[in-house]
Amino acid sequence: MTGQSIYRRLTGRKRTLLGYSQLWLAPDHLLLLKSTRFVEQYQRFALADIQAIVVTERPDRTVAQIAAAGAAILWTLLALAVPSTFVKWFFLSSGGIAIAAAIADILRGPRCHCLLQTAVSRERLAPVSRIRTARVLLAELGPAIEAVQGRMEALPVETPAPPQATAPPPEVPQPPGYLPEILFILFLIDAALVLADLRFPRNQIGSALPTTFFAEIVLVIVALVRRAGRDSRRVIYGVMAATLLCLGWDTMNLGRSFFALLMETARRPPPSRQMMTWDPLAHGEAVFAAAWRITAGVIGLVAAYLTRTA
Amino acid sequence: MVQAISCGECSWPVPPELWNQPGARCPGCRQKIDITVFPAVERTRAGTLPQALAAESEASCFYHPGSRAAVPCDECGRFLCGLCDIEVDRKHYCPTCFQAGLASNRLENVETRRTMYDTVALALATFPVILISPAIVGAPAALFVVFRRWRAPLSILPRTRIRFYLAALFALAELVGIGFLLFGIAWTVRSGRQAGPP
Repeated sequence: MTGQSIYRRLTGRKRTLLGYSQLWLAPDHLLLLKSTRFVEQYQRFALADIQAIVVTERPDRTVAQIAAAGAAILWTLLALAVPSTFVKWFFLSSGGIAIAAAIADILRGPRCHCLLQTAVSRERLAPVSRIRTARVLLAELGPAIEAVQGRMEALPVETPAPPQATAPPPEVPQPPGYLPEILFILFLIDAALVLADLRFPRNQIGSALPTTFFAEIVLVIVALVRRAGRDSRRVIYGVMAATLLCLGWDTMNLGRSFFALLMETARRPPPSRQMMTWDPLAHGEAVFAAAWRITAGVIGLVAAYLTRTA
Repeated sequence: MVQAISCGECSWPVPPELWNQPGARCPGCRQKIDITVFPAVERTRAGTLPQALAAESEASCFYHPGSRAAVPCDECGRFLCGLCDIEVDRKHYCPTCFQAGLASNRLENVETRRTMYDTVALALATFPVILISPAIVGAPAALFVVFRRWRAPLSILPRTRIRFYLAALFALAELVGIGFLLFGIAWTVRSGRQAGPP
C-alpha cells in the first residue's frame, strides 16, 4: 500500500480535539484530508481548477505570547515557595510544560489564514496556520499548479476591479465587551477577600490573594490592550489605568510580606515551620487595598451601566 | 470574467493590482496578504452540451434518444451523450455505473470518505482495558473486526496494516489473560471446596 500511493505529504497534521487535517499532493490534484481517527474524509482540488491561494497574516499576538510566557514562568517559580516536594514537582513539571508550549508557539512564527479558491468554491486550508508552513506549501504547490496551468504571465489589467475594493471599508460598529465589568466585579470580590482576611486572620483567606491580584493585573492589561480605540468608554478605562498604580503598590506589599515569610521560614528550625501562618497585608495596607478596590469597582460598574443604557 | 478574490481575514475583495505582489496589505483589514494567482482565474469552464441527432441512422444516447451519442460507457457499453458522460481517470461512465462504482468503493479517486477499521479494532482492543472488565467484550470485538475487515481497503493515503496486527496481538493477549484469571478463580474455588470446612 505504501509503495503504490500516488500521494505525497505537503503539510504536517493540524490536530484538533477530535481529529486532524492534513494536505497531500497527487500528480493532478490536491487532497485535503479531514480525519476523526475512525473516519477519513477527502476533498480533492484538481490542480487545473485552482485559481488562487490566499495567505493572510493574522493579527500580531506578541503581547499575549509574552504575557503567557511570563505567567508560565511565574507559575514555575511557585515551586520555590512551597515546602512539599510533591507540590514542588507539580509546579515544576506543569510550569515546564507551559513554558515549553509558550516558547514553541513563539518559535513557530506568525499565524495565518490560508484560502484555496476555485471557480466554484473557497476552502480554508486548516493545516496551513503559520506563515512558515504557507511558504513551504506555496514552494511545492505553486510549481505543480504551474506545470498544469502554465505561468501567469500578466495580470488581467483590463478587468475592472470591484468598485468597492478600492474604497476603504466602512467601520463595523462593535458592541463593547464585558471585560471591564468582569474586572470591576473582581475588584469588589477581592475587596471582600481582603476584609475577610483582616477580620478572620486564622482562616488564611489571604493566601488566595496573590492569585486574584495576578488575575486583576492580567485583566487590566488585557482590557487596556484590547481597547485599542475600539471602545469609547473613556471613564472606565481611565479608572482602569489609575488602578494599575494601586495594583503595583499592593503587589509590592504582597511581595515584601511573602519574602519576609520565606526568610522567617528559613531561619526557624524544621519542627516549628509547619505552625507558621502568612499575613499577606498589614492592617493599614489591607484597608487601603480594600478601599480603593471598592471605590474603583463601584465607580467602574456605575459608569459601565450608565454608558450602556445611554 | 475574472473572479473576485477576497481576503482570508476580513473577506474584503482584493483588487487585481495586489495579486502576486508579496508584502501587499489587504485594503479592508490592513493585514499582510499574499495572493498567488494562477491562469485558471481567467478561464471559464462550461459543461459540454449534447448535440442533436442529424440523421435517423446516427447512434443516440441511451438516456436522451434525441441526442447524438459521443462515447460508450466503459462499464456497461451504453452510448452516452456529452451530458451523460462522466469521465474519471480517463474512463467514461454512465450515471448508473458511476453510482454503482461509488457504492462498491471501486472508484477510489472520487471517494469522499472511508472508515478506518484498523483504528476501530485497535481502539476496541485497548480502550476497554483501562476499565479492565470491559475487555471481556472489547477483545473479542476487536478480533471480530480484524478478521471481518482484514481485506477492507484502508486509507487512500500511505498506511500500513500495523494497527490490525497490534489489535490482534493485544486482543489475543487480553483473552489469554482473561482465561488465566477465570482459571485461577475456578481453581481457588475448587481447592477451597476440596479442603472442606476447618
